[in-house]
This record gives sequence, C-alpha cells and structure tokens, in this order.
Amino acid sequence: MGNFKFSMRMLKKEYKKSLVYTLTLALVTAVTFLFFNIIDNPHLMDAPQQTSQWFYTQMPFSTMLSFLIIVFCAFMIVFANNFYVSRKTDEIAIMTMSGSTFINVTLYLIYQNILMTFIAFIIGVILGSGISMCVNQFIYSYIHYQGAFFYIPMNAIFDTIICILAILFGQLVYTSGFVYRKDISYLLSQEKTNISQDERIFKFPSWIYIVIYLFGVVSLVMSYNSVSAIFPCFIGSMGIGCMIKYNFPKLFHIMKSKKWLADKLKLISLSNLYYSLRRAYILVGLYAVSSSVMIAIMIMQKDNPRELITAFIGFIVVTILILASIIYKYVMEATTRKLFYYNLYKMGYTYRQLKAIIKQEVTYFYSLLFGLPMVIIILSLIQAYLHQDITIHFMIMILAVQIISDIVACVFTYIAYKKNVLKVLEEGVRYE
Amino acid sequence: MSKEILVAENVTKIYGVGTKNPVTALEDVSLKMYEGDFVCVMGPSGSGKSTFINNLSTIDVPTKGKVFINGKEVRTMGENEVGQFRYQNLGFIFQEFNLLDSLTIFENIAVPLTLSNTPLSEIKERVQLVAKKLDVDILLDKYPNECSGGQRQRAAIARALVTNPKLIVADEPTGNLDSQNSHELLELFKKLNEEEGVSILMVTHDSMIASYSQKLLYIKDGHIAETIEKGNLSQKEYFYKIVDVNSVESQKLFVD
Repeated sequence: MGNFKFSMRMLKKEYKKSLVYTLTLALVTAVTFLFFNIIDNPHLMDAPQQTSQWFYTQMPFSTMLSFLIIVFCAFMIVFANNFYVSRKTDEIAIMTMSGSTFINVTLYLIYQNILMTFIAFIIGVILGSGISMCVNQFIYSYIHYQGAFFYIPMNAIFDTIICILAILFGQLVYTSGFVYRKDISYLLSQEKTNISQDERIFKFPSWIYIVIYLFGVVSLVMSYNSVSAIFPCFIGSMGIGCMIKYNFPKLFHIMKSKKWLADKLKLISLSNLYYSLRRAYILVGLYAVSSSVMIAIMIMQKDNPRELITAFIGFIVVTILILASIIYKYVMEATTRKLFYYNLYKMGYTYRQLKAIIKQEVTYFYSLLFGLPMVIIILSLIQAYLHQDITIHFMIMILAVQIISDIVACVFTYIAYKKNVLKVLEEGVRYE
Repeated sequence: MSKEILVAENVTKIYGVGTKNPVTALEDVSLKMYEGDFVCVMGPSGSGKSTFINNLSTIDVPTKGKVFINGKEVRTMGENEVGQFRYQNLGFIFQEFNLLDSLTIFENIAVPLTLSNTPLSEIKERVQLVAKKLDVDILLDKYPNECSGGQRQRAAIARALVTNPKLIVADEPTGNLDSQNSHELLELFKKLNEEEGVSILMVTHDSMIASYSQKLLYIKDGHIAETIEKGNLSQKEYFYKIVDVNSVESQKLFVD
C-alpha cells in the first residue's frame, strides 16, 4: 500500500512529465477508437462477399487500413511509454538504492501507468466519440447514406478496451524488462544525458542510404502506376530515416569546420540539430514513410469515395500523431539542455542570441522533416496528375495538410523548447 | 598602483524576493580586485561563495549594491555589452567542466572566439595553440563524453584561456580532479597569474589549493568573515593560516 501511495505522490509531483504522456495516450486512444468505429460501424461497410471458405471473404480496404492504423497507434503508445520510462530513471535508481525490490519498482511504475492509461482512456473515448460522430457523417454524405448523428457502435468501445488492455500488458512487460536490465549507475546518468551511441550491428557506408533514397525517387520517375507507387515511396522514405541518422551529422560536421565555426548561431544550432536528428531519426523516417505511403494509398483509392475518405482521415491522424510524438520527444529532450544554454549564457551569449539559436535549430529540423519526403510526395502527386487525372484541388489539399501541420508543430516545439531551457534566464538573470 | 579590474560595493543578494521565504545568500559584501590579483574564496557549504562570484562576474545581478567592471557599473550595461564583456575579458572554469556536449572539444574551445567574431583561420590557429599548451590537442575531434574528467577540465581551461582573458573566474575547478591534476591546474594558474598578469578569482574547499592564491576571503553566512593576505609569507606558512581560519569553525563546535 505504501508503494501505491508513494507512486501516486510522485506522479502528482512530476505532473508535467506525466501530463504530456497522458495527453499523448489520450490522443492515441481517440484515434484507435475512431478507427474501431470505422471497422465496427455496419453502415460504413459493404456486405462482405461470403464464400464457403473464410479466407476468400473480401475485406473492405478501409477495414484493412483502419486495422493498420490501430497497429500503428499501439506502436506509438509503446514508443511513448518507452520514452516516458527512460525519463524516469532517476526515480527508479533512487528507489533501487533505497532497497526497493524489482517487483516493487515495477509495481510503482505500473500503478502510475494504470492511472494515466485510465484517465487517457476516458478522455480518449470522449474525444474519439466526438470525432467519430463527425467523421461518420462526413463519410455518410459521400456514400449517400442518412445515418443518426449520435450513433457509435458499442463494439468500438469494447474493442478499444481490449486494445488498451493489451497495450497495458505490453507496457508491463517492457517496464519490468527495463527495470530488470539497467543498473543504478546507468539509471542515474540517463536523465541528464543527451548522448546517443551508434548501435548498428552492420555498419554500412553512408552513401548506401543516399542510393536507397535516390532509388525511390528514380523509381517514381521511371515508371508509375497507382499500386506500384507505394513501393518506391516506402523505399525512398526508409532512405530518409537512415540519411537523417548517418549522413546529415557527417555533413554538418564538415560544414562546421569549413564555414560555420565562425558563425556564433549556426555553430551551436547545427550542433544541437545533429543530436536532435540522431535522437528522432525513427520518428522522422516514420513520418516520411507514413506520409508518402498514405498519399500513394489515397491516390490509389481516388475513385472509391469511402476508401478515399478513410485513407484521408488516416493520413491526417497519422500525421498529427507522429508530429505530436516528435514535439513530445523534442520537448522532453530539451529538458536535458537547461545547463547547456545556461553555460552559453555564461560564456557571453545574450538572451536574444539564445532564442535565435533555438529558432534556427527547430526551423532546420522541421525543414528537413518536411523537405526530404516532400520530394517523393511531389513526384508521386505529379505522376498521379499526369497518369491518373487527380485534380489540382486534391494536390493542394494534400500539400496544405502537410505544410500547415508542419508549421504548427514547428511553432509548438519552438515555444515549448524555449520555455523549458530559457526559463531560468527569464526568471533570474536579465540585463534588459 | 595596478588598475582596479573588479569592484563590488555593498553587494546583497536575496533569492525569492516577493515570496513567503526570501533567502539572503549574500549581505553587504565589498571587494576590490586589481589587475594581477589572485583571490581565493573559501567558506562552509551554503555560505554564499558561488553566489558571491556569480554576482561579481555578471552571471547574476545583485539585489542591492553595485558591481563595477573596468570602472563601469554592470547594471547600467545592456545585455549585449555584458555578453561582449564576458567573452572578451572573462574566462569561466567550473567544477562540472560545463563543456557543451553536442560540440567537439575543438568547437567547445572555439566558442568564445566565434562569439568575438574572430575569422575562421585565426580561430583554427588559436585553438590549436591553446590546445597544445594544455595538452588536449589529440582530443580536438572528440566529444566531451569521450574524454576523461582530467581531459575535460583541461579542455574547459583551454576554452577559458583561448581569448587571453583578463580575469579567470573558477568555481571549485579542482572538485572533480585527482590530486595530481589539481596541482597541475594550480601550477598553471600560478604561471598565468605571475607571468601573464591574469587575475584569478577562485572558489575552493581545499586549503592546499587555496594556498596558491595571494589573498583569501573567508565567507560565512553571506558575510566576509575573514580576509588573509599572503604578503611575504611562504606558501607553507600561508597554508597553515588558511587551515587555522577553516578550523576555527570546527573548533567552535567542540566548545559549544
């Protein structure tokens, strides 16, 4: 019981960390709920063409896509949990040093997780219900069906509960594994560090990743049809993730020693960008893969309104989810940089220069995040325009979603990052 | 007569002004530092040593009182001017090394030069020169987390010295070093002070380290409780005087 009380007290004390995590969970739950609603809503389905053998049953594309997005949501929760636990290493280390057993520490984290997941579930289902009602009406209007506004399939709630319980079980396994594997000195050093190691088993030369990216781009240009476009989009975007991690840092290093060493802002902002990119390369790669592949899917389904709408909603929510995760990760990483910026201030950087450094780093980060997949996206849109008669209106809509979401995420990240690292200077030492 | 480099007049620092529990970390403290001075600050934990040097070196702003640097009051300087003053005149060295972990050792040392708009070729030249002097030239392409504690401290010193500062501000610079590295660092400070006329303001807990200075300020509860000048004393005699000052507090505990 003492462990439970302590765990709740610490959750309250560290509410900032927990709040962002809970909101991420709530958002993911809402999306999971929305897509279970699409799967379970009988008004959104065609009657399945049953045959005598179950494997010949035709599954609607939207169901398959919804299922994939739910799997993606589960992955996002595991990722958020992984990162959340890795930012609680001080607490875990202190508990271990104070004599808590492996079971106690695991339970401590699980109690917190259960409470946060419960709150996130309530918020997520309420939010998801609201979104689902609107989305249902939107799809109904496309398929010319008159459905009740407040109708939500009960199965969507049950399926979401089952999904969340499965994820909770996954969190239990991950958390206990984390506590079991890490020793105290490792745990104590982790929250304050922002160093990332090259943990590749096979170290390919970095030009390979450029070739992979270019292969995707060239394949899109050379031959095109709506179904086969998914493959080059996927390959090219995979190349982006690897380039971000292994090519750009080297490029920055060379550019710094040749030119930017004498630039007081770029020297710092690009050094930080190097780390931010290395830490977030999975998310950046995922963003590239999901956005380009989802657009390819939308183009593929352009003549089927229901599937197109499902894919379009999927595209928006996946984009929002990944950007939310990037903001979350970026802001959490920023908490390890308070001393870094304070040291720069001590060396003679002004408050205004520090703000400019943060702005530069965040802007470059989002420019890369947006710019690299944009080559693939624009190519596939042009090809689709030439070969499949997609409208200019459709192209603008897709690009607008990408651009607006990217700008909003960039502004959010900048504000949160700045607030985190420069707060000490705003409150204490100012000369203006 | 040497020129006054740093003057503190009745400096008071109160943390949490306007809150329920304001804490006076420093009260009515004054100090004059001349070019070429080597001043050491000692005192028990929480006595206000770090607050003292932070307020004197423009890192923090006093609640009351004035700090003059090169004859100019810090409070009247704009943010840009204070920043410029720091990278042109001050070299900071701290216990935690405070190297920037996303920059290589080379880039870390180069930062103050970059700030002062030094041309690229000169930056490279001066970094190489100071790195050689401090024996960190083989580490220049490494990141701080790839270096040992002693190496990181030497790199931090190289960064502090690369602009040829007039004043070095060091807060427990030997706190994370073994005795060999500590004495090497102090020998270097002594050489810079005696041969190049660099002023040094240093906080330490170690009486032996403090004995390298010319003047000792003993701070207790935010006041300067005692000042000792080395004068014509040998380092050994000066060391014993410092030990005496430090042990008075401990002795009082026995009597009480």
